[in-house]
Amino acid sequence: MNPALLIPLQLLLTCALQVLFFQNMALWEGYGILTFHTLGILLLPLNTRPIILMLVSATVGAVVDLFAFGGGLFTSSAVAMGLFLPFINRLLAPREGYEVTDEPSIKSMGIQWFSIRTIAALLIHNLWMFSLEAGRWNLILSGWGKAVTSTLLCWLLFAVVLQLVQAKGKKR
Amino acid sequence: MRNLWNFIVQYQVILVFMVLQALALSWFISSRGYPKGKWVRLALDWESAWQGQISEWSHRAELSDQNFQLLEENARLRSRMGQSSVSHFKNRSQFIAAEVIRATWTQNQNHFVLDQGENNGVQIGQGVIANGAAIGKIIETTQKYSIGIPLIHNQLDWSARIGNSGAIGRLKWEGGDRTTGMLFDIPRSAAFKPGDSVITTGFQGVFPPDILFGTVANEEPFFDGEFLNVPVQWAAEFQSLRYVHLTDTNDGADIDSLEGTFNHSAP
Repeated sequence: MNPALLIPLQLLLTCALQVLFFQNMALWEGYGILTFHTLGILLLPLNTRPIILMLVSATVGAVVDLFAFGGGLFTSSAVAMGLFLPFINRLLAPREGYEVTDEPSIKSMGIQWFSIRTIAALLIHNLWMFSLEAGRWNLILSGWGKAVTSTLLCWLLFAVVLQLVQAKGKKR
Repeated sequence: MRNLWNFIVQYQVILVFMVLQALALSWFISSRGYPKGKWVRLALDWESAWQGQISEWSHRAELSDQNFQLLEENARLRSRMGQSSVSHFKNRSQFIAAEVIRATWTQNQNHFVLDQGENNGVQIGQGVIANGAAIGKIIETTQKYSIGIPLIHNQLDWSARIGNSGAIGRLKWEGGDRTTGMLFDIPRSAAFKPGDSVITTGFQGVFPPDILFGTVANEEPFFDGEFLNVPVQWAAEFQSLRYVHLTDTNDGADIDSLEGTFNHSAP
């Protein structure tokens, strides 16, 4: 599919799934919160300009906030993730840099690259989100615990979803 | 001017980050746990139609129709009981049945969405109860849906009393354990024991008096200067909540206007 169409479609689909399904899923007494909309941000092209990345992240977060009654919580967290994502990309870049055809997916970059990048970005997003949400110092530690477990759960979900989608693509 | 331009160009990423964060955080701080306003009402209408549909599918196999009929009958009976009561407050109480179609119970600022709105008589400020236990209050409504915040919301205080004639304090959930709250400002001289009822006072105009918040928990109270902070075990099981009643004392506006008069006339 044409990337100019695919990217907005990815963002729309991940946002819609978050709003319609995943926001209602709070597993393990709140230690498993899914933020599926972050997958749309993580799948943005590797050469996306940092400012564009943050603006798109802010828009995605604001849409989720609007429907999940988050009141800016998801926007703030998505912008924080958007700020650090280019740094993470640079840290994980191959010695000769990224190819023009490289995509931030398991199929293109491998499971190890994908896992480290996803876990690092989600950790930033979730630590920011749960720290803000805690609102008090005595709840910060449990918030960070939730951030770590939710990050691992999301990473697992993203890996499974991408593997399924890519496997389907390969068959074609 | 050129230096300023150079500065902006050099630090453009950080500056955009700060602007976006300022916008997001001001939104967060201004609405902290209280989803209210035009956009919330729009989102509530759009999304609740979908959530209501999901709820309907998932409950179809559980004889939800029969449950709801029983609930409505229960609400009518509660209204009649209120009308025949001697209490002045209870005379004015009305009950509306509703179903929780969406909720968050695992955050520090939780909320729930009900499938009844202004068309069914739901109003902002009404109390929500389930099986005789206080649950929370309504903070925003649309024609068909309403959104409320439960007792397990760390930004709210509730006026509560230990037993029918016991000490009055400020009941609050401070986050963490979702089964207990804390009753603040109880005098040291107050007599109570674990298992005693903690009930509504009716002072806030949200609930009628004598609705159960919970019971005094089997834990030692905390000393706080001249007062005690008493742990309270919630009566409601929030995570299994599905059907609720909305109660209207019809006195909330009167109490607010009286408080306004007092504030204006204060020297």
